[in-house]
Amino acid sequence: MAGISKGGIFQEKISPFLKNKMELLRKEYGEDSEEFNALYLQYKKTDIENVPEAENNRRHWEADVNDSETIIHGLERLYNQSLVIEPTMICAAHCRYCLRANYEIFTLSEEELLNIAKYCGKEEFHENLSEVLITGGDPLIVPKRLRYLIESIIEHAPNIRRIRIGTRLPLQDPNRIDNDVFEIFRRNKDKVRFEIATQINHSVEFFPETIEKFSLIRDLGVTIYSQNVILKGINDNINALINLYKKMRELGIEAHYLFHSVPMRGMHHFRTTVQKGLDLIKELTNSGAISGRVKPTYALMTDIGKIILYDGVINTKNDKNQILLKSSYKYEDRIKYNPNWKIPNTAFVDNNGYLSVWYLDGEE
Amino acid sequence: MYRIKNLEIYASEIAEFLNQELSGENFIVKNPASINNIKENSLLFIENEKFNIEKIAVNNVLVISKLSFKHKNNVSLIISKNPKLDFLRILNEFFIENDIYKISDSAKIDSRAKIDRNVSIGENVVIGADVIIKNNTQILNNVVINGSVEIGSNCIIKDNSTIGGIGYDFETDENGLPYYYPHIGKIIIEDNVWIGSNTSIESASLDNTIIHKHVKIDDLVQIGCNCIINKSSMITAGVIVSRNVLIGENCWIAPNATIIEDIKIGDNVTVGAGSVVLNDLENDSVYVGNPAYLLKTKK
Repeated sequence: MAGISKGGIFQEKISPFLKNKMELLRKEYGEDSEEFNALYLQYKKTDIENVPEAENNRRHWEADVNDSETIIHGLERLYNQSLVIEPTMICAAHCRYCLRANYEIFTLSEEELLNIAKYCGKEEFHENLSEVLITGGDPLIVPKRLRYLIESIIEHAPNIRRIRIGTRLPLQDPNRIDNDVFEIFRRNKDKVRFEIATQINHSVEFFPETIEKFSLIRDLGVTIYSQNVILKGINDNINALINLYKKMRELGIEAHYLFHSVPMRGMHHFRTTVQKGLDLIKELTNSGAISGRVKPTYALMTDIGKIILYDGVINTKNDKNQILLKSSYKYEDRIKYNPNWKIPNTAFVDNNGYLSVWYLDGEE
Repeated sequence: MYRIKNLEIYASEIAEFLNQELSGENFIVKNPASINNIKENSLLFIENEKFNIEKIAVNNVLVISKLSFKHKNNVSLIISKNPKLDFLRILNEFFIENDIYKISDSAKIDSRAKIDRNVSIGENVVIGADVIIKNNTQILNNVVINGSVEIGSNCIIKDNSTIGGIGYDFETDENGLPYYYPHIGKIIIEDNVWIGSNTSIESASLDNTIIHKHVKIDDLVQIGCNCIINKSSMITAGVIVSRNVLIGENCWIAPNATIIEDIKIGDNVTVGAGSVVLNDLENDSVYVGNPAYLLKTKK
């Protein structure tokens, strides 16, 4: 969830905590082990990222919000019922497959956050807008500014009843999950429902410090769920996925999406085929290997939003290794709540007003 | 109260938080430091243009400075228009842990008082029936708030202060005895006001006492009834403000100054330490002495 530096290069950034954990895994399991590589490959910058491949997108969607009077920095709206707010693009560590690797790095001021809170509470949104996703960047990395944003939303946007916070900080630098973070939930849980959206891709990431911080957050009444991604060489085998979801079940972390790796520049080497993801999700969820309470939903993050591969969604595949997906998103709905939205080149509106989109497959 | 956090943070993160560029190596910063006691892996700010960067003898020092300089290998740089302010922003966001809000068991709060969300109330605090306190305000220990008082959001009322105590006001009767004038006015304290320890804000007589937004009042200050203190003024330690005084915006009243009753002080006025103000003061001016006289104008 990080952004690029101003030099245009997605810098390597590994927190001291993760560096220490990598070293411990290297010593315990060896450099060729799944355990070590499950962590190392997620964060280590390699030259493979720079090899030209078919994946050329620099952003996975364009949904910036333009108010009638001002462009509101750090705000996106792709779905009707929720807004995405990015108070900072800083993360404790840079995941090499980050969807927002190509975003500019910025941190919003308190004044800008107040404007966003007021925007969320506009009269015209009261009927449909009830939820915000605060992501970035990692919002928990700036807990006081996050608290300011949340308390401003509570004051100025009473229509917002659920606040989701996207974070990997408990995995990347759990020491920074401290009283300033807990206080955000403790002070405000009577006003809004909090949910933590994290991402855990391998069971090796459940360090004792991580487990402790997730547990303390959950004790404050915060729902924690994880939306994970299938990454080649890290978790694209059934045992890794079973272990991951069993551990999540044990720790009370709910499963959300299991994503196919998004076609973006620099991610080619992480991407399996869509079919491999389908095979894995079938074996994971239809075999009795994991509890029904922790079964994820396999999803593709396309240029028009998330698409679940139900029957009839996959339409055809062309000679450019692209799959045509038929969605149930309606163009007229999309521009109703974000008039700024433009149909991407990969998508079109069918005769019934629904959006279809081409999605680049991965390779074996 | 505030505590320092045990934190390791990349210098680049500090630059990114400030929306500035980092010049030099991207090392780990572990603590804030002053220029008088520079430590390894520390963050400091420099305002003194004559400070010699070559004197920094330890490794991995991140400097926030107004001026660029040719940095050595052991020093990295973030350029800032206001180094001290940016340093404080970093200090607050990353290195300082605040107390958790709570309402102490020993506090005596009248059930009719209206206490908003996330108000901290310290030990032995007394809060009367006709008191309103808004979001996120911190009332520290042994504070007494009585009478008709409204306190805004994000205020800090430090230990042992009294707000709205019975006013000191007497009329001499036919027998030459003091006859008490009961004060029934309201004290309005707006958002982001700071009130120091052992400070007293007397209850208003019939009209209101108003402390406007962002006013900062130091320890041991007396504010008499029916005073109005306008936005962002600073009243420092030991100042006596008598009744019915109006202080303008952005004023600085230095320690131990005394302002007698019914005085009007304009905007952007500085009153020197120990001054005794007997007459109205004009905008944009500096006054000192006893009685206070015009030392200079600011424009």
